[in-house]
Amino acid sequence: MSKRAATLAASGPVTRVTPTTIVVLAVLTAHVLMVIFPFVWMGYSTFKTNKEFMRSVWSLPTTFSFDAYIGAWSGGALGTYAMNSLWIMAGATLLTVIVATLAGYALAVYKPRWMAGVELSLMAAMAIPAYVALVPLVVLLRNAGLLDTHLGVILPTAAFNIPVSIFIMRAFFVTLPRELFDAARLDGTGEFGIFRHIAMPIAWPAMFTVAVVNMIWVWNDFLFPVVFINSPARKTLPVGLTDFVGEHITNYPVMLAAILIAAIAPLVLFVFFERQITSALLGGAVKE
Amino acid sequence: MRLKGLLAMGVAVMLGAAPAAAGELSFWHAYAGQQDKTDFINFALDAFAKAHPDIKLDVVPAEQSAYKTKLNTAMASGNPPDVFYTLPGGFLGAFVDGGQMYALDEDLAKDGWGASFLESALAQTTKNGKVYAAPVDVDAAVFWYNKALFAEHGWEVPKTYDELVALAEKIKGEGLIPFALGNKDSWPATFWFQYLEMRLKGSGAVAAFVNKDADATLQPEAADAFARIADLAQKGYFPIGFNGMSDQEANMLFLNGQAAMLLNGTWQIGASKDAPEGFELASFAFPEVAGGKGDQTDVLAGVAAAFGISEKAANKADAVTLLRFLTSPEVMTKYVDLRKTMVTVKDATTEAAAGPVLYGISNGLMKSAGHLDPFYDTAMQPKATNAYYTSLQGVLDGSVKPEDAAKKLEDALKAGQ
Repeated sequence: MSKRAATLAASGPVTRVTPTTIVVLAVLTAHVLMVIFPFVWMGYSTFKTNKEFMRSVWSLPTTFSFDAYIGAWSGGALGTYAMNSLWIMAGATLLTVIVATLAGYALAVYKPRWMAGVELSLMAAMAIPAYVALVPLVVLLRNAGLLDTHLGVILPTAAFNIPVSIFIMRAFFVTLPRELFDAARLDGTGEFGIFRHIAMPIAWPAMFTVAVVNMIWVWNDFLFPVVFINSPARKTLPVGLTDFVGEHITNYPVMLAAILIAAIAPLVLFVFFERQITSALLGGAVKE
Repeated sequence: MRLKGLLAMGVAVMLGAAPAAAGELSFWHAYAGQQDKTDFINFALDAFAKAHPDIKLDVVPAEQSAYKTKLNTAMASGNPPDVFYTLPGGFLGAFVDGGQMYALDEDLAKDGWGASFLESALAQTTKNGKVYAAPVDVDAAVFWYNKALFAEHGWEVPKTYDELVALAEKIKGEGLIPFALGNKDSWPATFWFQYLEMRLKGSGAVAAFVNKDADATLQPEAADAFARIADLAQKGYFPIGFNGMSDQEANMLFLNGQAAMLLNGTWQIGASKDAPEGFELASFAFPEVAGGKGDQTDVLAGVAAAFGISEKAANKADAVTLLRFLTSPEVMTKYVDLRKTMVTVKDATTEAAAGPVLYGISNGLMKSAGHLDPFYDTAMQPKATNAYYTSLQGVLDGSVKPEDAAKKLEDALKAGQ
């Protein structure tokens, strides 16, 4: 009997292996294999030469060579790109979370008369495709002297992510009972104190959700970094990875090795914070 | 206080981003993402630094597709680099129309610089009678085949279109794919349409639209050309799912012997470098089409890339020096050697640098061609290119009738006139 079935049997009301559990396990196993295979394929393909790769995409490597990794590491400054991505991700996420928490709280708790107008403008901002704003943004950034700087990527990125983040935060604060704030007010707590000591500690999971979602967006963003950054030393990872994709010719093992190296940082982060990230994403989905 | 600090920081940053100092040029290029491209640009820029230590370059490289977005945005925002890589035809034409390109005619007239280029190449960077960019390389589309596979099966190189179709049927019968085609990016199938149109009607059909000729038309041959392509697709001569497959994926089928032929540009030589053992690359001309009105020796060939100078560039003399250096016979021969692509500079595509396959095309096919017809999709305006791509994809997957595709393309070309 498999270990998994044993734990299943021990942990819950399922006491016997019924045909249903077998079907469910078979489907899940097939699903897991489908999800995992691309990663396994990527892993073993990096040990092939381009010639072997061209002969057969699926075959296992006949020799065990690290040439692809050497090529990937020397072909671009992957370490520098990763640091650049990290800075931009941290900056844009921090800015977005701060603004979105404050604005979401204000809109939910004070319910200002002009809230409808604010909501409408936020909706309108969300409807603007990034491509439309590209040229005006370049002009703006150049005049501000921010073209080809990390701050020049952080600010527009945050500006584009803030509206939807405000909506998430507002949706959370609306669910909190008003009595909570009224009680604090009667006790003489100031408005910022209420926010800082009562609203924020409760809002922590929602803020984490917004942060995680933003980190994923910013980390993967390609358009703004590719247009706003010129210096090779300031490139982000997704932009730097295009150095390994050719117009007509691509060395696949080297490209896959570069992708694997680039995936290390987010992978390590995920392994360490897996519990927080999954609970944050669930916390955002279900309201109490 | 905090605001003041921010403002001060802003001013400091602004001062830091002062315009390039005298003797400094910004140079943008798309020689990235491919080993042969980076090898070339590293060689050229190192040699330039040695020959002209007084001219400092601020180099910005980007991979081809990212480069286009980057350059278009920079141009549209009035922030162009001094010297930059550009595509000829409609891509360059848009910048010329915006008054952003520096005309090179006066410089080309000096010291025989202009005479060093092939006339047909300069024509593709000329607009309204002026040359706006120095052409670099020439790509020609030809049929590529796996010679070893042909020998093994006893197949013969077809001379006519009917023989080509008969051969395809035979190859399919033996369980192989006749033509590797990966049309996800829309351009690979255009070679089929253009060659058929060139054979059936003649060269220069799209050029007539671009030159605002009132009598310009692709008809009535365009419908016939589309119909022949639809027929090939329907008979299953292309790989399964070719409209969603990339050119490089299709290339793998060709290199590992699953597909027998491929209609593609001369970059195929570089792309075949890592082919597995037992693969042998050879080429043949697009075959004659019986009853076609065009010159049957014509070759689909055009300038692939060029270098231009921005009208806003502060130091045009240094910019011209850079262009002259990049298009000098020595640098261009090295280009041929590293990239296995023909260049626009006369006599620079030497036998030693080109290797037998490329030299065979450059010295045989290209020399005996009646006309060279540049790539339709880059020659026409970007809007018409979209109509071209979508109607061709529609014809290939059977969702658009050949007559409708021909009409849609004709209308788009007329609208762009």
